[in-house]
Amino acid sequence: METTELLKKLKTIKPDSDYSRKSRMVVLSHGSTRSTGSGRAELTINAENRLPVFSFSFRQIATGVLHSGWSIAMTAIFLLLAIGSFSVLKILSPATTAVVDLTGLKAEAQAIDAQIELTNIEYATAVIENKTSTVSMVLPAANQKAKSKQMKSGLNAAGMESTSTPPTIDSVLEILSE
Amino acid sequence: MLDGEIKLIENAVRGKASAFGLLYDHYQPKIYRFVLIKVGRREDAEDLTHQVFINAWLNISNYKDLGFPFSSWLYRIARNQVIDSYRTRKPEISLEEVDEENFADLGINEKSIENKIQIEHVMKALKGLKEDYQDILVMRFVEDLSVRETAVAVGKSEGAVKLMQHRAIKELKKAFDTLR
Repeated sequence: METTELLKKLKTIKPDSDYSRKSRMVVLSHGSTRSTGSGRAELTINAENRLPVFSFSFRQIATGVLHSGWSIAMTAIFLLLAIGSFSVLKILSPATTAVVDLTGLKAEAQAIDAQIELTNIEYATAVIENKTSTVSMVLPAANQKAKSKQMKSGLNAAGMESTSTPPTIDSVLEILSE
Repeated sequence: MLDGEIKLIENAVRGKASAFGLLYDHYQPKIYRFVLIKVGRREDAEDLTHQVFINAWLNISNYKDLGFPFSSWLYRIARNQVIDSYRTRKPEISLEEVDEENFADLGINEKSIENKIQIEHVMKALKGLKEDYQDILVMRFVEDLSVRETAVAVGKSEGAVKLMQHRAIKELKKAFDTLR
């Protein structure tokens, strides 16, 4: 086969149709900003070639400024709100404390303490009574009544004083020894 | 030459995209083929062809003043584009490494295996020639450009093109013989 005939076989090489279509669109869109006057067209093209990145229009700059202005304004508003809310809290704080009655709260707290003390006393007396009953079994029956009365009065006095800690066996025995 | 090409070029120079679109439709496959034979890689050929037409569209106002045939002007842009790409990067797949699998990547829609092998041989043989010889052979025998058109595209005289064509064919025959 002739060499030139073999070369003609390369004619079967064809570009992908999808690529061709897309490329065509992109290529033609490059000239969408061209004006019809030949002199002006050249000027536009040359300007595009020289300044592909920095060629901004007035409109683009204006929108850019507006956008940045908006963002600055929004930031300022947020800052004001943050600072404002802090001071508002400061202003409002006496009002909130005024609403709360401190003396009332104190009295209430004391009342709770007193109730706790009272229940403790009741508990302590119950314990002591139990212990005295056991002691009474040991002591002679004659002295038992008198001593238990004496002890009761004494223990009652001691129970009133020591509200927080219940009386121990040692303390009871000490009282008994008296 | 495309029917009514002169009118289309005039309109394209005036900035009519539709006119340039028609010129694109006619010349794009030819330019793509020319570039692909030279670079040997479909992706590169697509990128370069795309760039050729962008450059052509952006600088079409310069075309009339120089008075070249439109096809020659396009081939000249394509040639310069390929040379620029060689300067910036080396081809990742050389044509010597081209096998049947790579032919699918090159976009050769040839069903006959025999033809595929022949195309492979032609491309390998071409790759062994000088750049100018490759260009002249492809323009003259693949793209059917006239001697004048080829001369304008490669920037040589018509006489020089004829002489180079003769030498290129001899070189190509030698390359075929070594491949067989």
